[in-house]
Amino acid sequence: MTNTKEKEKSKFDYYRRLKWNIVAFTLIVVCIPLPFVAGTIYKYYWTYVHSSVVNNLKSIAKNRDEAIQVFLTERLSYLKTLSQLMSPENVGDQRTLEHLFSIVKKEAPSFVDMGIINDGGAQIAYIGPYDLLGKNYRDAVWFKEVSEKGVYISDVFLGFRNVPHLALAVKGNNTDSVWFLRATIDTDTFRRLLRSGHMGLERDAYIINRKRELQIHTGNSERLDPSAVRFPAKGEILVNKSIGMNGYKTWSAATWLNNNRWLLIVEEDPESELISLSKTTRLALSLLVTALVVIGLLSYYAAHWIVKKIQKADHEKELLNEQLMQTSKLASLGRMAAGVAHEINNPLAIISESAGYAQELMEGLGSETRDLTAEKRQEIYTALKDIRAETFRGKDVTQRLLGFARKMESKLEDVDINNLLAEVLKFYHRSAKVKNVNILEQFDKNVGRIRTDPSQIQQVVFNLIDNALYFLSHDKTGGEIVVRTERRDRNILIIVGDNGPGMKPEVKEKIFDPFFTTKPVGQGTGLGLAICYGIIKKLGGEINVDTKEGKGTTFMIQLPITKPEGGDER
Amino acid sequence: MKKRILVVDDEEKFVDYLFKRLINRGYDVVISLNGEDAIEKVKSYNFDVVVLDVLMPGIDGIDTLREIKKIKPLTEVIMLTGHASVESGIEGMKLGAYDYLMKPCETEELVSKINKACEKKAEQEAKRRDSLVSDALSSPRSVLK
Repeated sequence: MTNTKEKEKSKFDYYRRLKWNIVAFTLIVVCIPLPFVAGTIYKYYWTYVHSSVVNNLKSIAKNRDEAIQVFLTERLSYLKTLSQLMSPENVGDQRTLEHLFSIVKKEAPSFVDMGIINDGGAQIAYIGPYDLLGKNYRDAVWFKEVSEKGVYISDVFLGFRNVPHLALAVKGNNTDSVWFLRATIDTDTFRRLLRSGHMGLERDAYIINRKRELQIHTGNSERLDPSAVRFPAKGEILVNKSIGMNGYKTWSAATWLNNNRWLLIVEEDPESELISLSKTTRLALSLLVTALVVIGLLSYYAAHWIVKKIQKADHEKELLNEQLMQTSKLASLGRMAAGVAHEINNPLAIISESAGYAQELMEGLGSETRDLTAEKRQEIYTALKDIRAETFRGKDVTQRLLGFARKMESKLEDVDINNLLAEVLKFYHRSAKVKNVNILEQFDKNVGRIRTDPSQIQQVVFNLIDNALYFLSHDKTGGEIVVRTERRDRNILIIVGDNGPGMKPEVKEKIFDPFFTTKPVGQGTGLGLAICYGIIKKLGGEINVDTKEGKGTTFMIQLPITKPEGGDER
Repeated sequence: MKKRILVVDDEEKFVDYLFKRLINRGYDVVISLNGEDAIEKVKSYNFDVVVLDVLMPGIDGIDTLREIKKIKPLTEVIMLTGHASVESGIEGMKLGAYDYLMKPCETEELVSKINKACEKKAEQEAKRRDSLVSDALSSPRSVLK
């Protein structure tokens, strides 16, 4: 009972393992390409989003750069125009300056004040909210530069008024005297200019000079560290991705303006732009996980279904096999019965004849007298003795038949293989003689007993010897069958060999296939060797064939030695 | 004239007892234990009836029957089949055996079959003689052939 339970359990394990193997296989097949595809798509999308953010930043930087450039050029040209409008007589005249300033202020409100400085650096006329008349700029940097170059745009500075501002100056265009027109612009206007356009709240713009001093800043946040800014080459927009002052991620585009003296930096926190990317990533990841879960569930159910089908098919196959075995058992029983009938008939014929003879002697048939002479007595005695001997011969046969019938039941027993084979061979003693076949026994005494199913071993050997006899009787020159046993390591070998016609290689390949037969129609089912194969496999052994056309055929059965156990045997 | 019988079987005891019982019944009996020997004996003697076992080692009953019919077509053969199957008996009949019996058989049945076979043989021989005689009468020359 424990045996069948264990078998059930190992079968159950087998099907469970099969199911999980199918699931694992499906998942592997699906999971390798899925993340790959997802990863590729993500990478392209990431690149696309990043480059669009960078391009946006660059275009804003370019746009602002141009706007500031235009603004500064415009302011300078206002000053140039004004300086040309002033005749040598009214240079330094306060009222003319006031008049001109009021006109300019209408068009360009960003001008804060305006003044005229003579070649000595003294402010000789001034209009504006500060009291700067008479101040001397002789030692100021801008004064020296504008004297040399004719045009000057200052950095942002505090100056005398102590308010950050930007100064523009042009050289007066008179032939006889040198003077300068100077105007300042408040940084608010500048800041507004920076902020306008596509800036938005999340972006910031800065202008720094070559000494990395902050000039103007739109002032939304304090993310950029001017000292960390890298300078781009002339006429280039440099994009920099780094971590800013407060630990924020910051991306910036930098470009030169104002004759490469100022660096315009448009900076932003990319998170706001990249938020769509991370949203998409999360969505894609959750889709991926959902897909995997769904695939996992589906493959589990598919595997479950497939394994169930396989289990059912296996079960049906087992039932069929059992039926087949039963049929073949009956067939071998039929063959046995025919053989036994023949063997019993022979002694019966002798008994009948000798009894008849004795009777006739007593009746006096064939002689003149009915007296029982000593000679007649002797004859009758011999006849009776022969009858007894033949009776025992008959009993021998019936005994053997009983033994065979008992072994028809399939169960595991401790079997002496040599004995079993010897019993089987007894059945063939006469039919082999009739067919002129010599059966040789070569039994190895070391084979001993193994635990196996005697009825099935018996059936296999019957089949093999039947086949050998069948093919040997086709050519009638001294056939020989050798039945040999041998112990080899942990196995015992049963070898059935004949010197019959052998097989062609293409026949040899197919002999264990069901329904394959070389016998004429009606004489072979093609199941004998298929059943042998099934039986030996079931008993945990191997069956092989070695054959050569014209030389003979040898079947070798290998059975594992399992320790005989006496426990549950009756 | 005693009827000459040849009994062929590989079971020595069976042949022995059958021999004795047929002798007692007044037949002239010769025994043989295998096919080859039987064929030799048929060659050298004229038997009226051969009682032949089908299953024998060496040349089996059917082949022996074939040989006997070749050598002496007029000799009648009764087959003994050890088998429960009648197939070999029927095969023997096709090859010209007079009849078949299944072993073990009633001796009386066998004896009556032997007698009938002998009668048939005698008839056949008579017919043949008659035809020879009529041939000779119609054309005396044919005797010389």
